[in-house]
Amino acid sequence: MHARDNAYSRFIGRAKVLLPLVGLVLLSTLFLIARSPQGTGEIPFAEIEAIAREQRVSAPRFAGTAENGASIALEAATVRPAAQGRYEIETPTGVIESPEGARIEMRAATGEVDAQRRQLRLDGPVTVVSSLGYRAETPVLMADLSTGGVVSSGEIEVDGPFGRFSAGEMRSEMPEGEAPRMVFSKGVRLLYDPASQGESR
Amino acid sequence: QTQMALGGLTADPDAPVEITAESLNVDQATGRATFEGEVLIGQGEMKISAATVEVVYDDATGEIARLEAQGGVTFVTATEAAEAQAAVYDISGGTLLLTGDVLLTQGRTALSSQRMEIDLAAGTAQLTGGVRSVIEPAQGAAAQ
Repeated sequence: MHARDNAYSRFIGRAKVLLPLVGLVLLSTLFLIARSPQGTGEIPFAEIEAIAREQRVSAPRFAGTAENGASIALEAATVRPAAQGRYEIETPTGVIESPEGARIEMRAATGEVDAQRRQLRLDGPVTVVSSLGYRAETPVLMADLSTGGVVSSGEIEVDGPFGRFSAGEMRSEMPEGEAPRMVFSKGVRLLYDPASQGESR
Repeated sequence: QTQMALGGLTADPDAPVEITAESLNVDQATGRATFEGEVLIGQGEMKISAATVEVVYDDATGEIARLEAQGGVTFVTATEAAEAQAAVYDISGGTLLLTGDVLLTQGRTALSSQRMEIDLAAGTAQLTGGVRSVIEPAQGAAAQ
């Protein structure tokens, strides 16, 4: 049907073209102009310099299994490579769990991993918690990452499930094929007060 | 079976117990805790020494139920001394059970048997199993 050339048809013809265009323009202003560009946050150059100056990894997580199947997991705030094959770690927390489910949790201020000798040394007051309810604090703790064994040095105070006792040394061993055990040695002294059953915990 | 009163038994079952030893081994699979190496249990004037002492404790309350001593036990108080192969000291119950070649000496009399139960609170002892007593003829002191 031919558009008869009256004014109305012509108007509709033009409107069909013009109106969508106007819509499009309105729509684009909505996106292009309306959004004001946010200020770009200034980059903390000081921190970047600190990070760039030294190699370090933040929130590292190391997990492995020892020869006898004990799983070892170690987390820390940061780890920095020190001399040959040694790494300094900050606020390390470690968990050693034997296949039978005996768990030793360790928390320290600082630590050092010697990758070659697979030794972990924890310093600062080290708190050691065993799954059996033995809690001890010791100045230094050495952990052997290949056997999952842990040795404390120096006099320690231990909160055991049956009372508080002191010992000259604490050692946690997970020997192959034998039951995992904790050995407190070099003189153990327990004071148990039956009257206050269990209050001494 | 001789019922015998242990005189002057000064053991106080509620006094603090001190246990010293060379080492304490904790088996992490079962939780067994065993003192080893010249173990000495002291409570008031009573002293028990043994080669190994296992601590049997209640996990929840942390209360020690009993101490099982093995490997040659000596029990000493102010007036008595006893030896045996093994002993079980029930702390909460206040009883000490000596078993295996028990030899008790009190003053001049000596008694031996296979088993001796001592009630520390009441200060009495019950000997059973082949009780023999050695009485010093000179004073003629006889066991009651």
